[in-house]
Amino acid sequence: MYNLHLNDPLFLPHCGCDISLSVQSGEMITIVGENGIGKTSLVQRFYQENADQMTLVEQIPLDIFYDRSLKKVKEIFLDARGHIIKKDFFLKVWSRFGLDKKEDRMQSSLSGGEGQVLKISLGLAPDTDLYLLDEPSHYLDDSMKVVLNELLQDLLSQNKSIIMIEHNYSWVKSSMKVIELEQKSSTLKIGKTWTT
Amino acid sequence: MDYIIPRFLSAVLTGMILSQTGSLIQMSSRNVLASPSTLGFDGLSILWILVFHSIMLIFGYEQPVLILFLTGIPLTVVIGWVYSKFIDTQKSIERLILIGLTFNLLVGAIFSFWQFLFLAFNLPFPVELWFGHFRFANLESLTILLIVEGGLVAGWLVFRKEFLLFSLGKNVSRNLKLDQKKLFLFLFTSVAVGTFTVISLFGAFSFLGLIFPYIARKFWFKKYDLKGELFLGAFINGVGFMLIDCLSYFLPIYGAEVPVGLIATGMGAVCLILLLWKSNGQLAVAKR
Repeated sequence: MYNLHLNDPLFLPHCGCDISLSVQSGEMITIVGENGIGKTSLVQRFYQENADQMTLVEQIPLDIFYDRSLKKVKEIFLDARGHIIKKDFFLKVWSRFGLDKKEDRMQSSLSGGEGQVLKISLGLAPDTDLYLLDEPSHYLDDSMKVVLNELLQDLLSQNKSIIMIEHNYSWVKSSMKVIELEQKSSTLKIGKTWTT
Repeated sequence: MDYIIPRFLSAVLTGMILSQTGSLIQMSSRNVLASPSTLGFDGLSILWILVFHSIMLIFGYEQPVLILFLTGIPLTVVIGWVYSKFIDTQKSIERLILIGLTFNLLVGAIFSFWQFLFLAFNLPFPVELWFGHFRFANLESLTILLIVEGGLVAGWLVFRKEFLLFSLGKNVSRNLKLDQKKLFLFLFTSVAVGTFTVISLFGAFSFLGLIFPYIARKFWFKKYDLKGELFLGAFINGVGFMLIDCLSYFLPIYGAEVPVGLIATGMGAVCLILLLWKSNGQLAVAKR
C-alpha cells in the first residue's frame, strides 16, 4: 500500500494543497476535477518526491530531440543497463499497440495517437509498484483504448497500483475508485469520492 | 614537418573536441542553441586567462601552462556543476543561454577595455585569445588535446548505455531510475575541461561548438546514432576544421596568417543564420 501525502500552502500560485491518498496493491484510482485545478501538478509532485518508487507517464508528448526508428528506440530501451524492465510485458505492450509492425517508422513521423502509444509502452515497462498516468487515453481511438484497458487490467492483476488522471474514464472496464479534486478556501482538497 | 604535423593534428583534435562538447551540452539540455559559447563557458575561460595573464605580468612571472590549467579548469568545472543543477526545464535552459550570451558580451567589453589599458601602458596583450589560431601548436599542446580526447572516449565507453537511454528522453530515463545527476556531472565536466583546454591553448573558436554538432547530427546520426554524431561526425568536422587551418597557413595575406578562429567564426555564424532561417523551427530534431 502507498500513502501519498502533500501539504503545501504554496502548491500553486492561486492555491495551496492538503491531500492524503492511499492506494492499495492492485487498486486503481482515477483523479478527476475541473481544468486547471492542479491535477497534473499534483501527480508530478508525487512523482518528484517519490521518483524511485514509481513511474510517470506524462501528459506531454515524448520529447524527440534525436529522431530514431522505433526499432532503434526499442533496442536502446531493452539494452538499458542495470534498470528493471519487465521485458515480456514491454514486448506484449509493444505488439498489442501494433508498434511491432511500424518499427521502420521514425519517431518524428508518428501521429499523435501513435506517439501516445509509444509513450505509454515505454512508461508501463519499468518494474515498479505504482504507475502514475496523466490522461493516457488522450489521442487514442476506441480500439486503442480497449487495448489500454486490457493492459491496465493486466498490471492490476500483477498487484500493481495505478493512479490515473482521466476526464472521461468510461473506457476503463473495471471497478475503481474515483476522486474528485476541489478547491476549498484556497486549498486543493479531495472532494467527492465514489467507486465505479 | 615537425611543426606542421602537430599543428594540423591539433586542428583536427580541436575540431573534434568542440564538436563533441557541443553535442554533449546539446544532449543534456536538449536544445540546439546550447553550446559552450552560448552558455558562457567561452567567456569565463577567456576572462580567467586574461586575469591570469595580468597577474603573471604584474608579478613578472613566466606563464606556466600547468598552473593556468590547475586554476582555470576547476573554475569552469564549478560553473559546469552549477549548470547541471539548473538544467531541468527548457525555460531554465533558455534563461541560461540568455545569461551566457549576455555574459559573453560583458566579457567582450572587458576584453576591449583591458586591451585598451594594456596598449596605453605598452604591455603585451594576448589579442589572439578572441579569435583562436594554431600558430603556437606544438607537441605539448597536441599531447594535452590527446589526453582530453582520451577522457571523452573513456567517458563514452563507461557511460554509453546511460547516454543512449538519456537520449530517449528525460522522463523515460528517469522512469528507469537513471542517475541523471551523475551523467550531467560527467557531461558538464567534460564540456568545461574541453572548452577551457582549447581556449587556453589556442584561443576561442566561437560558434563551432554550436554548428559542428548540428552538422554531425544531420549527416551521421541516422545511420550510426550517437556514435556517429559524437565520433565519426566529430572527426569529419575536425578534418574540415584542419582544412580551414591549411588555407590560413598556406595562403597568408601580405605574409600574415588570418586566424583560423576568425574564418571559422565567420563561416559558422553565416551557416547558423542560414540554418535557423531555413529550419522553420525543426532544428531540434535530427532530420532524416
